[in-house]
Amino acid sequence: MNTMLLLVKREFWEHRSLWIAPLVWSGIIIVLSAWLFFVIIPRHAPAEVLQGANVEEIQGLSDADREEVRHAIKTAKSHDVKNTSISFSFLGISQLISSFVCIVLFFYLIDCLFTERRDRSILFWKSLPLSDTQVVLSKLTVALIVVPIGVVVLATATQLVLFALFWMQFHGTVIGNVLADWNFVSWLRALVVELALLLCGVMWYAPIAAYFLLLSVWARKLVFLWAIVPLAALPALEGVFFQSTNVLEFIARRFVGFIQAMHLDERAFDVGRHEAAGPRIGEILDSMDISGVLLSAEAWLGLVAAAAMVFATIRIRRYRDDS
Amino acid sequence: MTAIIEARGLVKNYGDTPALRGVDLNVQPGRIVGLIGPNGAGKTTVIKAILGLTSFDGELRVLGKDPHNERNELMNEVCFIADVAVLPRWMKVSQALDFVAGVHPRFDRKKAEEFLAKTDIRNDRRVRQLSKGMVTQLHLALILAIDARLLVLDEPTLGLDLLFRRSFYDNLLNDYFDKERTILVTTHQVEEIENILTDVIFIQHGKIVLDSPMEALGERFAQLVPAAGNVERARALKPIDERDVFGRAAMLFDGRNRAELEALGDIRTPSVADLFVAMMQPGGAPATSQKEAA
Repeated sequence: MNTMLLLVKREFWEHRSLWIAPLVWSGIIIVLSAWLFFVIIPRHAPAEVLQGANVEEIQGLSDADREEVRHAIKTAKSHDVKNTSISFSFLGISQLISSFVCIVLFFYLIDCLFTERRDRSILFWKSLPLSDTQVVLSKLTVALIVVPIGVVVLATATQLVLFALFWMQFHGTVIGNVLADWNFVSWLRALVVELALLLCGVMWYAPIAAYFLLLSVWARKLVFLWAIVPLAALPALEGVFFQSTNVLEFIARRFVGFIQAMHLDERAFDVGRHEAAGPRIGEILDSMDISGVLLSAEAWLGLVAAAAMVFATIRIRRYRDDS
Repeated sequence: MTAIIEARGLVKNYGDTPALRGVDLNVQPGRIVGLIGPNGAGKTTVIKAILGLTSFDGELRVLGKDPHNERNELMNEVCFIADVAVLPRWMKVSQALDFVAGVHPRFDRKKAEEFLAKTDIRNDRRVRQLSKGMVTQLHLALILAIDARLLVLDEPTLGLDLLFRRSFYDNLLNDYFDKERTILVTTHQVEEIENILTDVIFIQHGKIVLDSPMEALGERFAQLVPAAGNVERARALKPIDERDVFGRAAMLFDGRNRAELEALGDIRTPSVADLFVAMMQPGGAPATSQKEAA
């Protein structure tokens, strides 16, 4: 167990982009949001909205506008917009960070077993009592367990910072009154949704991660092209020779299919039902069906494929001797 | 005593190219064995087979284990330095210590730190910031602190200057070697290690051409510089090699009676380098009429 912890730690020593890149990305999100809160909104929103908390106190507002703001606040309260804004800002930030992290992980996975052969450091690792199974599994653990947990932690921290900035700027104003208010239960509900998304996503993406690992251990050079070209070339070839799109659909399904399988797209995002307020986190929680992924034959076939590819990766690392 | 390495009929082909054609080895504990041969002779293949890094035909036991199938257990007791370039360049010295301490049950961190304290290597440095010699020192510090039964060194001092090479082998002898341990080393720089070896093995074209304890070399081989009138008589005794040294013939004999040779001129025990040159001639020994400038 200690060996595994150390192997995982080692990955973060070597591939510093695994933690630096998401931190920088989160920093960019914070800076851009601060710019929005402190520069863009004050410049473009009517000054009155940024003054009082009470619509009645706002000077120089036409009756029609006053009525509109009143309606917005009322809708906000009745439709639970305050809570929803907490939930959705968390989900939004999590998605921004996790999509970015997917790109980071792509480069990590195609690189991790490739570089050690290129710089021959594999001979150093192989001079230590470490099995190939431990080494390969440590890399998979980083991609499928440690980094996703890191995403949740980072998304939470980022949202707290954003919330603090928002509060500093808009507390006691109409905007503040309509939108943000910290609500632990709403946040917790969003967290449950995010964890479900991550769990299903990890399960769904396991074969993709294993495929990249396999390329990483197998390719003699140009591992990036090996990873990218088939994804583009196979659908194109199928299109040219068979005028069909089965491969493309398969690839698309492997990338985003789990969201469809969780039924998130059909019911919860039916914005029309809520007038201006949009979907509520409670409804997403109710409609969300993780068994659509966790119990699907599709996901399990994917896991079987992933296991086979991981097994092949371990065998190749163990028995190839061109280093 | 059980052999540390025991090989019989080791064969390995890379496609159509034979790398090893029936190698036999028997390495006993407490020996320092030099595996010496020209490029492409099969040295690295032998070492890879011993370390379980490649498949092979034939019988091979290392510490009583099959290195190919029992590699994971074997690596608890075997260490190797493959080449100076293999320490990962991104690694900090402190991380290297942390890592090896964490994964190797027989690593003595204090010993490695004491060794490093005698060098200019700082803990916060990354490997890529160290000179080639320092990287080797670091690797040596890690390896010396591991209580292993077999240490395998494949060209460990390649590309280092003389000072580093000398201190590398000094450290190896003084800080590491004892009667329980065995070292197998390959190198091109025969002259530098011949005084630390207990055994020497020559390999050529995938075959062992000489396998002898150092002390037996003097009994078996002799170099003769015959007196002026005795050259033809000496040649008649079939030297395995003959060279011109400052205008005089120097002949190398294998298994000739010493007294018989002494009668013909001055004799001395040849160096490993002399033997190497003689036995690695194209066509192999015996080579009677090869003349080479010394």
